[in-house]
Amino acid sequence: MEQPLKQNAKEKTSGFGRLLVVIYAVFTLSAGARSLYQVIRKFDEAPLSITLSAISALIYLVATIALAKKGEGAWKVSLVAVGIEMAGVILVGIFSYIQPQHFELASVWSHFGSGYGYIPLVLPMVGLWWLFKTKPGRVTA
Amino acid sequence: MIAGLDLWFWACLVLSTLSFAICVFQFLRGAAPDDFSQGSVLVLEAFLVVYLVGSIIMQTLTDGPSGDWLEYYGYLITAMIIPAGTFIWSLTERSRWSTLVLGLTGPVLIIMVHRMNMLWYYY
Repeated sequence: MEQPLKQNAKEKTSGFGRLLVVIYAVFTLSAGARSLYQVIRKFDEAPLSITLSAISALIYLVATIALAKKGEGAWKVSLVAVGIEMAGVILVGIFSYIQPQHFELASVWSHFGSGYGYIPLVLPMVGLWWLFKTKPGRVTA
Repeated sequence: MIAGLDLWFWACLVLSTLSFAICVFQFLRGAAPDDFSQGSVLVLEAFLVVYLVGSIIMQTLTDGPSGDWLEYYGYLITAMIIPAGTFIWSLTERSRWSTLVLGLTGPVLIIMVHRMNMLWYYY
């Protein structure tokens, strides 16, 4: 059997980073499928929630691709995407509590992702931690 | 029906938990994807194929899901992509992390099949 390529342990796309990419891919898939369904069936009911669902799916998609790619450019794109995700889940989480009338339909981020076991809240934190750990040019002991 | 959930769900729970346990065990041993971890995920995919056929049969014999049929089958199709995806991933990346990726399949499927049960019986 072929041995796995020995990669630089600090590379963003190696080891744990691979796992992160798959988790992001699963979220892209589920958020994407959910928002596609909502757009087809329920757009008139809750345009704001559904637009947010679609945007979150898009951000997960960008993050998945950027996390999977190597290089400094991909690292920056990842940082922006995961940063927006972090801000998004916090803002949507707060507003879904204080203005529930605007969030009739649950999206991935409403109530801090409670419908998804709060993974949407934890995921960007883990993502940011991983990105800073694998920052290009960072010297690790 | 046990605790308000049908046998599809319970079968999924047993198979998924087994698959998760096998994959995590193999991951902790530091094993790359092998017949055990990959096989357990193929079993999950096979289960979903049977579930799809079963759902179509149930659809013709009964009134179908009490929730939206599009949402129900949307979940089912999405669920079918997951083991297929993690299995293909495990073929391309031969590391212990890939074994853990295979292990993710089970828990995700438990959540999705639970939701499908809700859509079929309660919405």
